[in-house]
Amino acid sequence: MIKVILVDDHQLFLQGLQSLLKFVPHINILATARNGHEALVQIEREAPHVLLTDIEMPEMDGIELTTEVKKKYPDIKILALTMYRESGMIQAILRAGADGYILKNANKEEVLKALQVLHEQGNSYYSPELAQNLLHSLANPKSKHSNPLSKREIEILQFIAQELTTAEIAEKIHLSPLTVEKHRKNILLKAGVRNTAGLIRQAMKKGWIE
Amino acid sequence: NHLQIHLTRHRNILNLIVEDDGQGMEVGDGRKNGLGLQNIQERIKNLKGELHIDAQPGRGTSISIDIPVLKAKNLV
Repeated sequence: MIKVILVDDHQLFLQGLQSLLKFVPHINILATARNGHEALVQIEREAPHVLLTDIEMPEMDGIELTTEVKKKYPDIKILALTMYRESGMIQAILRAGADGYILKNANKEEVLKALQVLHEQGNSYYSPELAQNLLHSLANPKSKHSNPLSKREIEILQFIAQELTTAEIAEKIHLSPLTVEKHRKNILLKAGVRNTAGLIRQAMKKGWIE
Repeated sequence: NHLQIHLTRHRNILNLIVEDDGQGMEVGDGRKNGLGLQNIQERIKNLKGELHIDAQPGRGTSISIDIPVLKAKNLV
C-alpha cells in the first residue's frame, strides 16, 4: 500500500487526480492540500510515503515545500507534478530534493509507475519527455542552449555578482531602477532560482559568469 | 546600432523589454508623443497592461511592457 498526499492549488485538478487514484487498490490517498503550509500540517498528521506536489502554488510553493519536507522527513518521497517543461523549474525542485518529476498531462499509468518506482524501488522517476531536456542541459553545460540570457541580462548579472544594488546598476547602464528590476526578475526566472544567492551559485555553475 | 528584444513569460505576467542604443529621446508628458507611441499605449491599456519608458537623449531607449496573462492551467 502506497500512502499518498496530493498538493495542488487548483481544486478541480486535485479532485481529478484524487478520483483517478481513488480506486487503485494499492494506493491510499490520505489527504489533499492546496499549498505547502497545508501540506506540512497534513504530513505531520498522516505520515505519507509519497507526496505528489504541484510546483507553483500561492503562499508556499512546491520548491519550498520540498526543501522543508526533506529536512524534516528525509524518507518521504516527493514527486513533482506540473505543467512546466522549462528545465529551470525542473532543476530547481530536483535541487531542493524532489525524487522525480512528471507532467500534468501524464496518463494514469505513468502516475502509477512513478509512484511505484519511488516507493517500491526507492529510485527516482523522471518523465521520459523531460529526461531528454535535463540530459541535454547536463551534457552541454556551456552550450548556447543552456545559457538563456541575453547580452543585457548577462551585463546586469555581472553587476549583481559584484554586489551592486539595483539603483547602482541603473545608474551605471542609464536605465531606471524599475527596468533593472524587471531584468532581474526575468533573470531569476530563466535561471530557475528564487533569490540572488541562488542566482550567483547557478550562474557560476553554468559558467554564465566567471 | 543594436536592438535587444526580451520576451519573458512569468506566472501571471508577460514581460516585453525592447531596448536600443540609439539616439534616445526626452520622455515627455504624453501630449508630445507621436502617433506610434500613443497607439502602443492605447493597445497596452486595452490589455490592462503597463508601459514604462526609459530614455535620455544620446543614451538609447528602453521600453518595458507588462501584460497580465492567465496561467495556462486556468484555461483548461
